[in-house]
Amino acid sequence: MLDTKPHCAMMPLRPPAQVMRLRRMGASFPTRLSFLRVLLRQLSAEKAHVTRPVWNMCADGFGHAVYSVTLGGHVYSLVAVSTDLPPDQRTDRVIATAWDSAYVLYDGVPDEDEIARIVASAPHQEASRYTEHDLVLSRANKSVRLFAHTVDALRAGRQPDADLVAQTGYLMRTTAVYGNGKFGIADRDVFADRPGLGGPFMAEMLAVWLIRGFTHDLVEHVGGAPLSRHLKRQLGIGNSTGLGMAPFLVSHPMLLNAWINARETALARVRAIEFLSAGQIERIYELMARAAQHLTEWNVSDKIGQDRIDMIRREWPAIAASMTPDVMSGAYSLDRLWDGAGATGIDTQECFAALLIEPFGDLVDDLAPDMATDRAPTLDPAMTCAELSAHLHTDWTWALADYGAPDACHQFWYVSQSKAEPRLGLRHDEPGADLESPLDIARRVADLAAELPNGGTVAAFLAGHPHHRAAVRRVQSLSSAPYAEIRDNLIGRDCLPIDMLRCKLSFFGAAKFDPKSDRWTRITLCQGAPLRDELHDADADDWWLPTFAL
Amino acid sequence: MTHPGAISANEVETLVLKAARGGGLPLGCAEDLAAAARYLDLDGLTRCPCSGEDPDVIAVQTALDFVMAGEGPQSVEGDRVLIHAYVLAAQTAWGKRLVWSETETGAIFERFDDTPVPPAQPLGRRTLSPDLAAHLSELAARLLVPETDASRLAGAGAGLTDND
Repeated sequence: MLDTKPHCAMMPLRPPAQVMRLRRMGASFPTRLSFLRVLLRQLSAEKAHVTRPVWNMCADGFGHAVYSVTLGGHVYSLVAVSTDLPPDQRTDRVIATAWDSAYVLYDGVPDEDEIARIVASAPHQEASRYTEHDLVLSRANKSVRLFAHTVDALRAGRQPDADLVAQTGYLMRTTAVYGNGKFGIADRDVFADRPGLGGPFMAEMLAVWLIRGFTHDLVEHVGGAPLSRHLKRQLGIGNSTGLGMAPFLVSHPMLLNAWINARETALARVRAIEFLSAGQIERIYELMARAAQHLTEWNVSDKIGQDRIDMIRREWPAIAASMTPDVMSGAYSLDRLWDGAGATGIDTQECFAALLIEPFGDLVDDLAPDMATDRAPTLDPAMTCAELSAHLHTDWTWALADYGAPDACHQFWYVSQSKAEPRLGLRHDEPGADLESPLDIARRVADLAAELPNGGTVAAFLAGHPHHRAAVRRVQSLSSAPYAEIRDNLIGRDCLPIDMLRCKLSFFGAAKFDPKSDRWTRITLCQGAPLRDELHDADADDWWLPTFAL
Repeated sequence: MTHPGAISANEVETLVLKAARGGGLPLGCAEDLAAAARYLDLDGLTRCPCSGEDPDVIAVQTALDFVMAGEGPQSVEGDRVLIHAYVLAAQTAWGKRLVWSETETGAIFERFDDTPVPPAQPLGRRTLSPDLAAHLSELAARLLVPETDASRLAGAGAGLTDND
């Protein structure tokens, strides 16, 4: 779906052939349309008030707590369970069977029986079953070093070391946030029509934000003293993410299209602004400086990741230097700056795109509701094979390759028998390729192209070739959803799954991507986000690319 | 894994999709069956739709395809509840009403017309019989790749402990 709102001037959207390449998707930054930002704006607008009706925690910080908040006229409660986890069991992977803490976002206010049920079941996570009252299931592990250090510091009457807080950025990191019916919790349909929870992943984001507050409360409880407000705001909630997140983008093409289309439409609208006000110019200068500071504070151990951050640091001053008063006060200044940024690297371009969108909420925030969609890919059996062939040669030339070449089919995605953990294997070295997960979209489409006749209908073709049905549906769907497909070979040697993870996580609102391999990353969510008692502050929404420095 | 008690609609769809793939259905046909599962009384089936040499689901979907392409009427044999579910899924996806009738062994699909179709009500959250849940789970488990030491260490791209 393309934006057709007649009242908004727009520059042309960036073409999918540019936007939907893995390398660029893997350079994504959070924007003001990211889901956490959308949720927190809603909470602020409603002047939401979080209560903590239950705090049943021993001196060492083990026990349970309940937080409640009203959003869109409905009450939601986070039930948090903290347990004593031996260090040898602390793994962020799917194969884990125990965690430092477990959570359920509950629909309403749980009574004692419901709290007892959740306290008994949530620590077992996937091994338990849940009810329709449970909206989100999650768990988190401590950053042991920072949590212990913070407790020690607070007990000694000090604040934790600011450098250590800045380096880590969170007290705990979630290792899964399950929604939409997993393990018996409520289907998304249950609350999708409710105000405030209709957007994508809103329930999950609400859980994450409440968990972040719980981690603050827990460390203050064990430490016996309050954290400083500045440090607390910089302590987000970490997340450790692996391959399980990647297939979602492939199996939800219409949703991916909706997300990317909203972001690209926002950029196109902003580029079409004819003249900036003095206040808008000042805001852009301020954000340029903030982004530079954020980049300075963002350091990772992964060499490729750090090289890319370093490149943005080097290129950022040139963009800033191009923002002369003459340019900024001239016509279509943002479009001119955007054109100029085309000379920089992909990472710098994507950071700058997110920055350009940031000051213009009045112009772009109405796009957020369109990021949720019930639309499903639909097959048109009446289409002629000639029409289908035309689509193939218009939209899919990037996929039409020789997948018999070893590099083109180098890896395969699969699900392990071990707790159904998603993994990646090397096709020519490891067993299991016969059971691979269907992320080989490009290969499937190439196979379709090789067998598609010139005459007849799709219905007749599929009657004799049902194995091409999935590919036909994807080819047809792309013509009306141009950002639905990742335009790269996901089984090729060059595919880096982490690019898919970062794209999705940036839409959640993640920052400080900290790759641990090409298929695993840590991130920080909610860093700089308002605390529970800051939702009503005038600057509650001003936390794009937060910086530690005051 | 079996699912005693009520399972969510998304779990039903996901389980059916995996079972259909594990049972050998082509991916696109498994996707259709998963979409139809929203309306499918699974306990009313007389035979498994996820496997078999000549699966009903391919025949039913192919017949619907032909009718949608203007090549009706089409006769088809299959489970009554399966045909009902596929008709509802097709009407929902294509936004058209199917003119059809049941036969003793299946159905005759006449044509799609533009008469507005009220949205079909998905069955939503439900309880599966233990035998059916176990059967579908067994089919779905056929997609799982056996664990090796190498895949455990390297396949996920992360180590085995995270004490930082």
